Amino acid sequence: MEKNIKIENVLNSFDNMQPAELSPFVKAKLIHRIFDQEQEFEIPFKKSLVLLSLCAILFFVNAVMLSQASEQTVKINNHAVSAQSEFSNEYDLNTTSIFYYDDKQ
Amino acid sequence: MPDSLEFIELLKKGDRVSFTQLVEEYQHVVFNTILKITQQSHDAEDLTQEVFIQIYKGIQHFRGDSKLSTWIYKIAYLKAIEWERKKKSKRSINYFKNLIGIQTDKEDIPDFYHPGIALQNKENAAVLYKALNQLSENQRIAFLLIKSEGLSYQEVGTIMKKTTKSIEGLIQRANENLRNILKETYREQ
Repeated sequence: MEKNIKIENVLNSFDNMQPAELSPFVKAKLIHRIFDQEQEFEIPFKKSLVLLSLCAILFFVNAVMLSQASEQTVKINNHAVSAQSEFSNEYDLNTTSIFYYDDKQ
Repeated sequence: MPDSLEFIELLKKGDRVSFTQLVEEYQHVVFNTILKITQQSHDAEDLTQEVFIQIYKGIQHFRGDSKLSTWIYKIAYLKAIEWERKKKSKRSINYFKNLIGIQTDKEDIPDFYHPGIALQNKENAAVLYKALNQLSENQRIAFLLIKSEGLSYQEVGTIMKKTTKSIEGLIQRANENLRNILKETYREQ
């Protein structure tokens, strides 16, 4: 009998339970944290956006410089090839003429 | 006011004043629901913050199928359950680590004294919490939400994604099991 009363008391021990209070420090932190997390998200997002655009600009500049450099290389190559062929033509003539003179001598 | 369409629209638009009002209105409800499930004051405070951040981010998805308070209860319940499951899996990992000889920090689960319980009921409530911890997750949470939060069977059904009938069944089995556990407890004494 006594045991049953004990059990009933235990089962009803949640009756008239008052809500537990959040500490004032947590209360104050709560609102700040909710609205700060927006900034927490925004700041790295903006930072990464700036970094990304910087990377894109660098990539573009690099690509332009590379294409200019390759154009220059092609020009130099063409120039070199034509110079070489001119030179070799001249050289051939000279050598022929040298040989010609040699033969004559 | 918190359940009015206007208020919900303001929340969806990200109105800070309305959201502050919502926090003021529901902070105790969220904190207490989580505290009763986790039985850890510090973790309950952290989880309360996470719940409100989730509400702030997810208010756009609130369709108004249930009351705003039920939706908030649901988020709090899911957060607490997630925390509890993580804690349980950590405990089982530690158990296996101990089995194979890896030293882990021993975690003693102290008796839980809810700060809102009247002094004369403190000891009895601690015994009840101990007995509740031996019930299945669903039975324990249904019991806590109905007996200590005073929610209706229907509301608890919405929160736990179950029918009202199955919540009734859970409460009935929880009561039976609690009585049996308590009988055993007092037989040993």
